[in-house]
Parts: sequence; structure tokens; C-alpha cells
Amino acid sequence: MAQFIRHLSLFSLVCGLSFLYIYSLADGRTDSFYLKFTSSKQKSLIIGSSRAAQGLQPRIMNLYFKDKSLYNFSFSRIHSPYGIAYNKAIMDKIEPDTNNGLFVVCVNPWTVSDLHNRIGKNPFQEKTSFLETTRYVNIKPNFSYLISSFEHRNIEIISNKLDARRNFVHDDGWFQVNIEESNISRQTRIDETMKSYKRLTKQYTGISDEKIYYLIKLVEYLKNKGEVYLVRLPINSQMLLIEEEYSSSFDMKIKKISDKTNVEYINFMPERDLFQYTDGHHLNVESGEKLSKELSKRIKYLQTQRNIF
Amino acid sequence: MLFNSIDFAIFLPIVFILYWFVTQWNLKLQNILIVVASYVFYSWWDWRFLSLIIFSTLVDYLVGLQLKAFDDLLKRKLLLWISIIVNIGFLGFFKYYNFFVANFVDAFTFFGNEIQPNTLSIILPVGISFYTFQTLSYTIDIYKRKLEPTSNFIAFAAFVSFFPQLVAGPIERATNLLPQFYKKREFNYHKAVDGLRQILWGLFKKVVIADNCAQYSSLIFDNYTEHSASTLLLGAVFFAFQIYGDFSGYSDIAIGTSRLFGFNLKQNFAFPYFSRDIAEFWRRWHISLSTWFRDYVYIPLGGSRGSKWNQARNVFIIFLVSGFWHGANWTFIVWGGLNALYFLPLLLLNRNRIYTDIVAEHTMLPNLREFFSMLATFFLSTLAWVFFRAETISKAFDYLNGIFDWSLFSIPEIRPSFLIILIVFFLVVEWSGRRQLYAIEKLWLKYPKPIRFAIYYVIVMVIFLYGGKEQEFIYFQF
Repeated sequence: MAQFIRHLSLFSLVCGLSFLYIYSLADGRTDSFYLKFTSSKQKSLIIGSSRAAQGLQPRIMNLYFKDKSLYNFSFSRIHSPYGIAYNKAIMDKIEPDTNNGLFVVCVNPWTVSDLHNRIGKNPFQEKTSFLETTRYVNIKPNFSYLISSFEHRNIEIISNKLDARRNFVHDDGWFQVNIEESNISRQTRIDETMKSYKRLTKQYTGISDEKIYYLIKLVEYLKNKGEVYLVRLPINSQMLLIEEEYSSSFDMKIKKISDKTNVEYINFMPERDLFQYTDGHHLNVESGEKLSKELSKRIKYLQTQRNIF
Repeated sequence: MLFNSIDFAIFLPIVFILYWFVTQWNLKLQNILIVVASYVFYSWWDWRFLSLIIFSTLVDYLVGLQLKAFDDLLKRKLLLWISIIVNIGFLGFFKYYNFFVANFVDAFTFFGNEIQPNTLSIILPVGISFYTFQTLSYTIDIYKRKLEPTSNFIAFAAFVSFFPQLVAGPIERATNLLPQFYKKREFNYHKAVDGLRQILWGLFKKVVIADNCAQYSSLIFDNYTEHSASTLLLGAVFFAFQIYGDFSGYSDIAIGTSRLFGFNLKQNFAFPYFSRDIAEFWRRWHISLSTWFRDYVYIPLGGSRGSKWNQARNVFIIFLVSGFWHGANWTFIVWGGLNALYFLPLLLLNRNRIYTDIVAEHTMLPNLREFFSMLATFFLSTLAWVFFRAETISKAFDYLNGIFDWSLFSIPEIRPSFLIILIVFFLVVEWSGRRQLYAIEKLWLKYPKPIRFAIYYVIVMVIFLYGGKEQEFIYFQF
């Protein structure tokens, strides 16, 4: 028995150390989300879906808000609609003693909608996503995420790391997507995205009162931590048409939330044609930079207006 | 808890340490620990169904004792029927109630009478198809006077609930497993190491082969109308490896885990994809279930005795019942029927027992005839698996129709090279170990320990790096 335990322990130790080493190689190229769970707690956050994850660049915005150190804690339509799981993750990500942070809360109809397969008291679909199952949002390496939520083979931790062309998450949370642009490929992507979102509208039930409730709850919480801005990021006209067919009252609902919570609402839809999209609703890198600057200026302006009054 | 989960990785060492360091002095304590650990293991799935397995254990324990107490044939038959009704009753209700209601309604609707179905939201208790058959074998063997009943309730409860094989087999016979609970188990280094080796190979089959094949077979089956014939065939092949890797992998882990605790379970898969005909395939696939049906259904029906008509009838009954055992869906019944059609000609021509040895037993490679026989048998079983995988019979026929098309000679659109390489490696190892109980049982034993450990380390790292997205074991749904 002693020999068995000895050999097994030694073998397990070698294997365990190997696993730990592989996991320690995980970085911003591992997948679209992992690195966000490894950075320390933050004072200021950008929150939302993949449009915000790709579109808003903290390194640009932090030039305007030097004392805020914005961090992009946005994920995707599927994983981070507003609700219990995302709210909790956000609260865990904020430094407890923060009181003068800056919070950019990006909204679109999908992040406040329910899927059809949720009936009655069934949990929201994101309850099984990594936002719910990843216990800690600020440790490195984040074993909880890598063991329970990483959706690819572990070999991809190594292969992705070696692939310089790969999309990756920066240290400030911004998700940079590298797409080799050509007009044909962009148009193909846009057409595919429009088709898939037209199908998607049938899977959703419409704007959810429960999710609106959680959005409001989040805003109220964040107001105690600093300044909050509701932002609707631009998308192309085709996508806007789909969203307006899905929910024509979305803007009005957000304006009501803005009034109710006394939080500014910045809507970039009127300027949507000034930006370039990789697929109709995600900004390319240059447009993301441009939008980040524009948003920063708007926030600065609003801050100045508030100080005057 | 799944065998390839963190929960089990924590559970197993705890039970192992308690078993060999705390309870090893006393047989009763050893068995009590097995029972407690097994009930904890089962409750992890769903504690509500623990009462079912405990009730089934109690009924069969008491029936067993009463069968010994009575000589009167009528009373003995009555007792046996109590056991059958309780076990099959549970199985029938939890697994087949909605199926029968739905088909009853469909039949009435067909004749123009609409009736409101009264289906229930019934959850299938994990393992019920396995442990009910296991306890039935106990009472039936006592009835036939092949086995003495046990008065040791703890030993019997341990036999029924033994956690390595509780939820997905192998379905153990009381004549094999129960006596092992009457003797105190002593730790044996080589047995334990052998157990770990079998667990390792089982994990490789499940995590690397089955889970990766599952990803691609689902991709192809879920969108089968959009793919070429060659892709559909590849999808069916992936499913064939998925179900083999999944089920035989689970069996390997179950058998290996049992050996860690000093128990010997029967081999459940004997390299079925190296079979030269369908009859040999069914002697090598899910051996514990097919022998159960042979001994408790086929032989009582008359088996291979009597007229050709009786033989054919018995074969069909066995395969249809076996198909139905797998699930409450017509696809499983058709799958069973198709296998019966494959098997019948061999039986009727008395050619069902020509391959009872191991293929290429004394050579390294098969000869051409053996190779093509294996290929043909694999192809037939793969086509049958389409029914097993498809959601409905019509989708299965559509899928098969899609395979028989000129695009069969085109290159498949989906061809994950890493998986194909892994499958080739897997087949080479399985082929090399086909004479053993499991592929790597004796494969590298001639090398010194450091080399062997290095090879095992490589297998562990392949499992860690190439393990597919976690899928539940297919047979848990049965």
C-alpha cells in the first residue's frame, strides 16, 4: 500500500504541476473572456455585450479620465444580458471602497430580453454561463474559469498563445478583433449577421420587465460607486431596422430609466453612419477608437454641464 | 457525479482512503462503507430516487429469503413475480409511461378519435435500467436454484448499489459479484495499479475519443440536410466511435475503479469493432446486457432449439426488447430490429458461431478476408447506429438516404484532422491490445517502470490537452 500511495502521489504531483503550468500560460488569446476574470478589482467599468467589448477602448478613454482607469468588463449578448448573474459579477469586480468611479453601461434590446425557453420561474439562460459559475472574477490564473467554463480544448491555450493573428483581450479588457478586411468579406459577414439576427428575433420574447428591473437595480447600485452613463452604441441601418422591428419602444424605455434613475443616456444611433462595422453591429478597430474618443468627449461635456449647474 | 468530473476526483480518493485505512480491518465495515459511499454517489445525481433503489433492494432481499423458505412451486412463482413486477414496474413507469400514453393517443387519433393525453413530467432515475436488471438476476437465479440467497443485508445492499457500476453497468450477476462481498478484501498492489491503468484508458476513450466525436457527430446530424454523402457517412462513423468510446470507456472506468477496491467485474466490451460478422459483434458489445437477455429471455423462450420459425421469432424478440431497453422511442426498436435482420441469416444458416476466437490471434495484422469482414461488419453496425442517434425514424431514413448518393465520393466538408489522427492512434492501440481484457492491460509491461510511467504521463496529458467539451455519458439516459 505504501508503495502504491508513493507512486500514485508522485505521478499525480507531476501531472498536477503540468496542468498548473499549462493553465498558467492562459492569457488574452485564450478566449474572448478569460483575461477579464484575472485582472484585479476595478474602480471604473465599461459594461455590456460584445458591441461594447469590441467597440469601447479603455486605453483611449483613460486619456480623458486619467484618474478613473476604466476597465472593459463587457462580454456578449448570450453571456451578459442584464440579470442576476451579470449584476453579481459586476459587483464582485468593483473595488469595495470605490465611490468616485465611472461606469459606462451599454444597452441594446438583446441585453434586456428573455429567450423563449425560459418559462415562468426557470432560471435565466445565463445562469449556466461562466458569469454564474466562475466564483472569483479577479484571480490569476483563474482555475475556476479554466476548469468549468473554458469551452475549448486545453491545447488551444498553447496554440492560441502562439498565433499572433488571433483576436485577443488586452490588459484593460478591450477585446481586439483582427479581421482581414475586404469589401466582399465584410459584406458577406454583414449579410450573414442580418440573416442570423432576423432568425434570432423569433427566439426572444421581447423586452423583459425582469431584465429591465435588474438593469435599474444595477444602475442604482453603480450610482453609489460613482458616475453612471447609459450608452447605446451605434450599429448600421440594416441592424437598426431589425432592432426597431423587434422593439420599437426600446429607446423610450431607456429614456424612462434614465429619467427615473437620474442618469444620462447617450444614444449614438443618429451618428451611426459615421462609423464602420465589421459585421453590421461590431465596430472595427478604427471606428472603436473614434467612438471611444467621442464618448469620452460627451461624458466630459456632461460633467462640465453638471458642474456649471 | 460523472466519472470525468472534479467531484468524482475528490470523492474517489476519500472513499479509497477510508476503505483501505479505516475499514480494512473489518468485513462488515468495508461493506457498510461501500453502501454509504454508493448511496452518496447516487444521491449526487438526485437524492429523490434513493428511495427507489432502497425499496428495490429491500423487496429483492426479502423475496430471495422467502424463495429459500418455500418449496411450493406456486408460492415460489408468486414471489418471483413480485420481484419482477416491482422491478419492471418501476422501470416501466419511469421509462415508458409517456411513450405508451403518446402511442396510445396516436393510435386513437389515427382512427379518428381525439383524446387528451395525460402524460406526466417524469424524470428517469439514473441507472434504473441497470440496477433493476441486476437485482432481477439475483431473484431469478435463486428461483432457478442456481444461487443461494444471502441473509447478509449489508452485503446485498452493497451488491445492488455498488457505485462503480451503479448508473451505467456492467450489469453484474449475483453469482459473480455478490460472493465478493462475503470476503474481506485485501489490498493488492498489482490489482490496484491494473485498475488505475484501466481507468486511464477508459478516460482516454471517453474524454478524448467520445467527447470529441460527439461534437462533430452532433454538428453533422443536427444539420444533415446540408451535408454531402461523404460527410454524412463520416458523421455516422464519428457517432459509432462516440458511442463505443463513451460506453466502453465508462465500463473501463467502472471495472478499473472496482479493482481499486479489490473487486473483479466482468469484461463488458471485447473490441467489438474488430468483429468479423454481426454474431461476433453481439458477443463483444455490451456483453453484460446481451448475456442477460440470452439467459433470462432468449433461453426460456426456447433459444436456438425448435423450428427455424421459433429461432427467428426468439431472435427478433431479443433484439427488439434489447432495442426497447435502450429507450422509449421507436428509433431504438428499429435499431434492434435491424440488428435482428443482420443476425438472422447467420443463425438460420448455422454460421453464427464461426468466429469465436480473436481476429488475427497469432499474427500482427489481419489477412485481407479478415480485414474486409471487419470493415463490412463495422459498416453495417454504423448504418444501424444512425437509428440509434436520430431523433425520429423518418430522420434516420433521410440521413441514410443522404449517404447513398454520388457525393459519397467527394471529400467531406467537415474533416477534423486532429480527431482523425486521434482515432487512428486509438485503433492502433486497441488493435495491439485486442488479446487483453482492455487495450493497455499488458501493452507496455515489458518496458521498465520509468518508461511505462512516461507513457502513462503522455496519455494523461493527451486527455488533458485534447479532451473534448464535457458530454454526459450516453448510457446514463438509459
